[in-house]
Amino acid sequence: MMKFNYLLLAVVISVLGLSTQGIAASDLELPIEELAKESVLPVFDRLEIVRARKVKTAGKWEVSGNFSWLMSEPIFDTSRVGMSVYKHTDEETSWGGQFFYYSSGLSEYSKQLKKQYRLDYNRAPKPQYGAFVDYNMKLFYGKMSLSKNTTMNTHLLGLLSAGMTQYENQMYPGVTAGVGYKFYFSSNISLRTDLRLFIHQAPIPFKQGAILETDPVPDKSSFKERIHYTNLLDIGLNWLF
Amino acid sequence: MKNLSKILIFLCLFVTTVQSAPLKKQKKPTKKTATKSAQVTARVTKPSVENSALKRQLYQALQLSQSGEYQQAAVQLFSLARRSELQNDRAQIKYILGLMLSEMKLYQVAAFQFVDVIRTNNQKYTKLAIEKLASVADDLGDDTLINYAMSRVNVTEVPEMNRDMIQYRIGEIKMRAKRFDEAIRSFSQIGLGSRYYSQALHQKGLAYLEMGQPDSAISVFRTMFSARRKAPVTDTNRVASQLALARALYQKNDWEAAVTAYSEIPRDHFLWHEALYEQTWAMLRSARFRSALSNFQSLQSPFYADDYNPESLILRSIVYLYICKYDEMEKVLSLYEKTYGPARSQIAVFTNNYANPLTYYAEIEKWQSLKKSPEENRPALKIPYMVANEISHSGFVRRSLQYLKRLEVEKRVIESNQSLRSTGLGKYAIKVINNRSKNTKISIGENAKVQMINMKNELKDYTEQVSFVRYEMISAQKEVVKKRIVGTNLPEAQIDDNRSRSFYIQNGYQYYPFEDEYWLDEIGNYHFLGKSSCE
Repeated sequence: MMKFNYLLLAVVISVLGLSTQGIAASDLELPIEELAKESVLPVFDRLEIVRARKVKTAGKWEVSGNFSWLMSEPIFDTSRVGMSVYKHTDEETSWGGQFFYYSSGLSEYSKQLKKQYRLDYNRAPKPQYGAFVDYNMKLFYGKMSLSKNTTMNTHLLGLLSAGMTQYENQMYPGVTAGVGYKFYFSSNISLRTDLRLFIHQAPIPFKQGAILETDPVPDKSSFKERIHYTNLLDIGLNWLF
Repeated sequence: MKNLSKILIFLCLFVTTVQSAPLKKQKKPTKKTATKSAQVTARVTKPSVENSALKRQLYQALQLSQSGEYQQAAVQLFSLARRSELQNDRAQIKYILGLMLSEMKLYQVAAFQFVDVIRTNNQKYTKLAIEKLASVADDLGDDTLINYAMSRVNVTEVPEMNRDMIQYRIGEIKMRAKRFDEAIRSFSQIGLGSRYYSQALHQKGLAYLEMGQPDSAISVFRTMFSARRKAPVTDTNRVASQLALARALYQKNDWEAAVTAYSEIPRDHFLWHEALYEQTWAMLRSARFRSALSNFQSLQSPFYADDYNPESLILRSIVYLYICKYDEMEKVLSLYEKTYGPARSQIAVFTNNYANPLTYYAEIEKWQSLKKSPEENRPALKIPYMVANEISHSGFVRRSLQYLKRLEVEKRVIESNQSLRSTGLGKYAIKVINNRSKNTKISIGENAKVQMINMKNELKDYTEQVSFVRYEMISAQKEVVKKRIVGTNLPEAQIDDNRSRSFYIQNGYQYYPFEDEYWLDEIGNYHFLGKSSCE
C-alpha cells in the first residue's frame, strides 16, 4: 500500500506539468480499459447491494390514495376508491390500514342483463365499504434508467392483508395476497400498482325467484353466501414522510 | 503423516527396547552387591525395581502409541516424562509425546514438547524434534515458534517432503531480516510441484522489488501467473500474481502498463479493492486525472466507509485544486474533517488513557464481534471502527488472530474430551494454551497500540496537509473573485457553478445520472465527466 507523505504535493505538481489531456479535452472519449467489462460484483465483508439509498423508508409513515378494479367481478361495479396509511417498521417491512369505498352501481354486464332479460341484480346485497390490515414485505429495492437523464427507484413488494367488507346485509371477512410494485418519482412520492387475489366470503347474487323484475323483492339477508375469488388491480399514489 | 508417525514410533520403540536391555543387566544383583548391607541394597535396588516398572510402563505407552491409541499413550507418556528416574529417556519420551499430541491435533502442546526436546540437546532427538516443530509451527502459523524452529534447523537433514516448507519459512525469515539475496536463494529452492510454489514465487518477486530490480520481479510474477494460467480467474494465487505484476510495473515507473495490469484484476476478488486504489495512483502518475477522479468516486463511496484511508481524500482534493473545482474540493476536505477529525481525537484520548495492551486487544476483539452486526452497535467500541478495522487487517494482527483461533480450537478439543480434560496432561495442555493465548493477546495489544500511535501522528500530519490545501483553495478562489470584480476574463456560466450538478456514472454502456446513491454493481464503474474549470 502506497503511503502518503510530505512529498505528495511535489509528486503531484511534477505530474501536473506532464499532461492535461484528460482534463482539457472537450469531447470525452473514455479509454477502453476503463469501460465496464465485467458483470460480477465486488466482494465486501458485509454484503449490501446499495449504500446511501435515495429512498429511505425505515421508521417513516406513508399515506396513499388508491383506485381499484375488481377485475373478475361479474355483477357489481368493478371499481372502488380507498385510502391507506402505512408505518414502515424497517427497510424490509411495513404495516398499514386500508379503507375502501365501493361504487354502488352494477357492472356493464349486469346492466345488459337487466336491459335484455329484466334481471335486476340491484336486489342482491352489494358491497359498500371495507377495512383491511395490510402487511407489506419489501422484497427488492431497485433502480431503473428511463432515459439518459432520468432514473427511477422501485420497490417490489409482497402483500398480505385481511379485513372485513360491509355488504348491504352484513359484514363479511376476506383476505388478499399478491405482489406490488412501487415507482418512485422522488424520494418520497411514488406510484404503486398492486395485483392481488381477493378471497372473501360474500353473498351469491344468483338467487332463483328473486332477481327477475317480476319476482317479489327479496330480503337482502335471504341470499346464500360462499367464498368468492376475485382478481384485484390497485393503483395508488403514495406520499412518504 | 500418520504412517510416518507410526514408523517413527516404531523406531523409537526399537531403540527403547535395545536401550532397556543393558539396564536390566546392570540391575541384576551380583555376588558382590549381595554381600552389602540390606539398607544399602534397599537403597540401590528399590529405585532399580521402580525403574524396571517404569520401563514397563514406558514400553506399554509406546505400544499404545504404535497401535494408534494416541490419547492413552499421551497421558501415560506425559506422566512418565515427569519421573526423575527416566531422566535419561526424557528426550525420547517427550518427542513421542509430541508426536502423539500432533496426531491428536493438539499442535501447540505438541510444539512445547518438541521445544523441550530441543533444549535437552539430545544428539538423536533434537534433530527430529526440530523437524517436527517446524511442521507443527507451520500448521499453527505462530511466528515465534517458526523462528525458533528455523533458527535451529539444518535443511539438508530434513526429509524431502518437508524441505520446501522449511525453505519457504527460512525465506520469510530472511525477508523480514532484509537479507533479500538469501531469501531469493531459499525461495528458489522450492519446485513447481510444491504447495509453496506460488507463495515462494510471490515472495521472491517481492525480494527483487525490495532490491530495486523490478525487471527480475516482473519476470518472476509472469512465471507465477503462467503457472496459474489454467486456474479460475478468481484463484487467489493467480490474482496475487496479476496484482504483484502491476505493482512491479508501477515500481518500474511504467504507469500506463501498470494501469492496464491493474485493470486486469477481477472485480469479484477481494484483492480488487487494493488494485483499484493503486491503479488510481498509477493514473495520477501518468497524469490521467479524469480517470483518477473516476476511481475516487468509487473509493470514497460509502462501501469503503469502514476503510481507513485519509490519504485518498487529500489526494482527491489536490486533483480538484489543480482543475479549479473548488466546490468539489471543499466537499472532499469537509469529508476529511468530518471523518478523520473525530477519529484523531478518539485515538488520542484512547492512547492517552490506556496503557495496558490487553485493553487494546479488547477493542480488537470487540471489532471482531461487531463485524457482522448492525452498524448501530458500533458505539460499543472505544476506538473508531475504521481504525480497529485497519489494525485488524494488518499482517501481524491478522496472523496472530488466526493463531488465536487455532488455539481456541485446540482448547475446545481438550475441553470437549472428558477423559482427557481431567488428566494431568489435559490440565497441563489447557494451561499451556491459556498462557499462549494470553501472551498472544498481549502481543496483539502492543502491536495495536503502536499502530494507533502511528495513526495519531500520521493524522496530525494529514491534518496539517489539509490546512495547507485549504489555504491554497482559498487563495485560488480569491484570485477568481478578483478577476470577476475587475471584469476581465469573465467566464460564461459553467455547469460547475451549480453545486448539485450531476456526475455521470456508467454501467455497461448506458449512462445515467448519479444521484448520491451507490449501488454495488456500479462500484468501479463511475466516470468523472467534468472538465477543468480554471479560467
